[in-house]
Amino acid sequence: MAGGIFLARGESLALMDYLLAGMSGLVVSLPWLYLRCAVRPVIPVLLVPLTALTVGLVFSLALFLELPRRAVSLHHQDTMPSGQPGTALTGSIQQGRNYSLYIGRHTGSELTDTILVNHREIPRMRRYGELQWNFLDQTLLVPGGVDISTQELFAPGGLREPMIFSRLAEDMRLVIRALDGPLSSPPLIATLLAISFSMAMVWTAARLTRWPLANGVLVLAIMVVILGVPRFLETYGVHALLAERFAAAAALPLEDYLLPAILLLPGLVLLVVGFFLPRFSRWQREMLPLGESS
Amino acid sequence: MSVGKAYGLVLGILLVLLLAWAIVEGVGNTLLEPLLPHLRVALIVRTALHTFFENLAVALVVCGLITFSLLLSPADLGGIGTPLIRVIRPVLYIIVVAGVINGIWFGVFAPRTELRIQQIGHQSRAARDSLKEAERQLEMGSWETAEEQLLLHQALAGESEEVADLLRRARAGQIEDEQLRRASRGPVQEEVPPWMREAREMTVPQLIARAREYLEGGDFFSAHHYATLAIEQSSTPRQDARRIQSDALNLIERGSLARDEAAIRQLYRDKVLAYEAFVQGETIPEKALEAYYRFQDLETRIPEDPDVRRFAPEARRRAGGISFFVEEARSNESLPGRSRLVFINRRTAEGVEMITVDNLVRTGSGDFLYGIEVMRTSGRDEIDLHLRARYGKVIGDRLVMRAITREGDYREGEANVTGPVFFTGSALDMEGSLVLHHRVEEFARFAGGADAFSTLSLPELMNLSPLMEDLGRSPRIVQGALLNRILRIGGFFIVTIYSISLGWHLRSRYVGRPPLVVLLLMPIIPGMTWWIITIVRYLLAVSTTVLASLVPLSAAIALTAAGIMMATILAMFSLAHRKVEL
Repeated sequence: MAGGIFLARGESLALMDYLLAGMSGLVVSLPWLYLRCAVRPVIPVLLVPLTALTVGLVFSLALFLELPRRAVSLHHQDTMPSGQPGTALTGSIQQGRNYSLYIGRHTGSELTDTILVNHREIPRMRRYGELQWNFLDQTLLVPGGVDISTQELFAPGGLREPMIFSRLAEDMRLVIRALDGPLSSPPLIATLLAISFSMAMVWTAARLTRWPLANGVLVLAIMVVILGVPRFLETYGVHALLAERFAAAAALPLEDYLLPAILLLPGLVLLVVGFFLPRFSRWQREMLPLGESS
Repeated sequence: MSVGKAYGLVLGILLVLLLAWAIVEGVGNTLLEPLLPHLRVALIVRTALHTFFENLAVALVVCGLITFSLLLSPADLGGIGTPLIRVIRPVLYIIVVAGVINGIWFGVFAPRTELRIQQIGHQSRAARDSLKEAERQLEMGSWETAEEQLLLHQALAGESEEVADLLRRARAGQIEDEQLRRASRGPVQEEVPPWMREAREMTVPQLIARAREYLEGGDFFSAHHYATLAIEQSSTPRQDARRIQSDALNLIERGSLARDEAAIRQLYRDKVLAYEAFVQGETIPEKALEAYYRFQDLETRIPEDPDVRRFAPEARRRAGGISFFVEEARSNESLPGRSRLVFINRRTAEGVEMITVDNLVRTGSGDFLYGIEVMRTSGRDEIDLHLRARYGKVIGDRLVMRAITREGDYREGEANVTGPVFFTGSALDMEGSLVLHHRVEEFARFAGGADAFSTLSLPELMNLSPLMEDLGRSPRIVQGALLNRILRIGGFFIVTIYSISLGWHLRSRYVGRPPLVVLLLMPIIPGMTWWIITIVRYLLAVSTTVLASLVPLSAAIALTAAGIMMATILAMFSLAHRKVEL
């Protein structure tokens, strides 16, 4: 996170990825927390603190949504009015797979005195007095040419993002987008509650078998699946399809509540599974080494 | 089953599976990319090796997790109460050996493999592009360029029936063009000089009179010719004509000595011209090239001449200083090199001079650059110079983009020179060549972007150029790459040791073998372990880049090393305090 904000001053272009990187780290660490809580709970009613924790996580996700915007506005305040160029990109070459870009001066979202290199075209180099960077779409707008993804040129540390990370980042973006809006909005509250409930109920998987390692791995896999729900709906157009089919029969504006409903499903399934699991005290006795007790 | 045997068995199975997967991925990669057939196996082997070592740590972590969480019982570990660390020594030996191999791989061999993979890609792309270009040129009827492109394709891809056909077509086209050119000039007619036509119309006395005139004027060949014509045309013997004919012949024979003198005079004149070009070549590059070709011609005519022997090597040396042989550049074009280099050559108060190079090949005979583009700017929208050259060679501190053919006639304005094409500006703006403000090894190493950094070995990464920023590159990225490489090597020990501790901590509590349904969860373990390690690696790589931007490199290295040591100690500590228990 700190890195993300720090770099936002100079390399704001990849800021969102830094934030998402921080959040994915949080997701990876959650199963471990669940496993610890599963064996040695602070209080027997585990769902309460876990739910609070998860809701906290989701709220922090919503907060992260605001951070990039704040960072960008801060960045603009720093650079735009005074007209002083940014320092990190000034006079540097950013190189991607197919494009390279020399930035003579960098002022906010405006890049001046640039030379764009297209490694697949002759002539390779083109001079642009001014190029605009669109932060929200994460693209560099090239007059009379194809817009270039900032990931291509401004990947953090010039590193190529692993595909699974891009997918996780995209999942995160869509979850954040689903939570974007005034906090008093009922669909938003429903989404927040649904995702919190499902994430909390993932804890059930943490005591599904008597092999904690397999349980932990399962917890992580289920969490990744839950986070992937909005992407799944968007990719396959399920959202629009269901909304169309049930719109006539519903009194509520169903389209707004479809996502929370679908997000609720994994939690409900896990809740039902929880009823069939052995009592917690018995399971705990089997899991703890001899001589130890809760 | 003993600990070492169980761990070794699981590791063996996992490594075999990993190798199989790596080979499948290698084959898959070659299927996706249009490659040169003779490079296919090389790419499969290298991609498979790359994938294998990339996931070696994952295999060892999975091995530690599964062996200690599922396979080993307290009895296998020496009974309840035994400190875990005492019984896992064979496993630690395996980890150390694997860690050393992993370290050597990532420190030295991984960059070379990565470089070779990139080179194979470049070679295939270059071969494909040259074939496409040749086909385009064939359609346009540019036979010579097409032949050149086809020869390059052949050098890169080897001989094939298809290319041989195209080559035949290109050569046939050239011959056809030549024939058409000749035909357009019309049938070659025997040209009769006017004086000869005039002679045919003259009478015998006129011919004799003309022969005498020529004899007296010293033109013995003409005198002989006219006298002979007079004798042929006369029906009666003409003694006067015979006398002129014999006199002229005597004088011609006597003049053979004079002819030798004329040849010597001609040679002398050629030597003078060559020498003049040589002298002027000191300041005018074109004259230096002229001198090279003139002395080359004299060398074949009078190789023993002391002047030629003295000046020809000097002319060759001087031509070599301002140009290079196109044949040499072409013969090196198919060699592996470093591709897609972009760097700032020079900064001025008004602008920059930026260079891109499609490929750089370093050989014993010099550094050859292919597909060079230079742009020099000043002011906001000003371009002072923009050129593209097909070939370039670094001679001293200059980038020479003038390639000449090894052999050829030098005629004014028709030199056998391949030079840059100017989009903006002219040859006057660069004085024939470009001064390089960086050494070749610097831009070869650092001008290829993040992809190029992965091809640098650990010592190369550590030997950072202080001129990185002058090249237009952020030193932070190279420093990040260096720290990341150190983490890759040291992190191996942390995760593999910790996997044992974690595996034992999260061991199965089933008495005996778990139910089949639970065992079905096992395939998720490698998948999710890979998922976590990949994400954590990326996060660490981003973190090291941030760290590199916050503190000086030496401090960043010290911090990273300290972090690795601390984490390893913690992992060992985590192992040390575990005992065998139910």
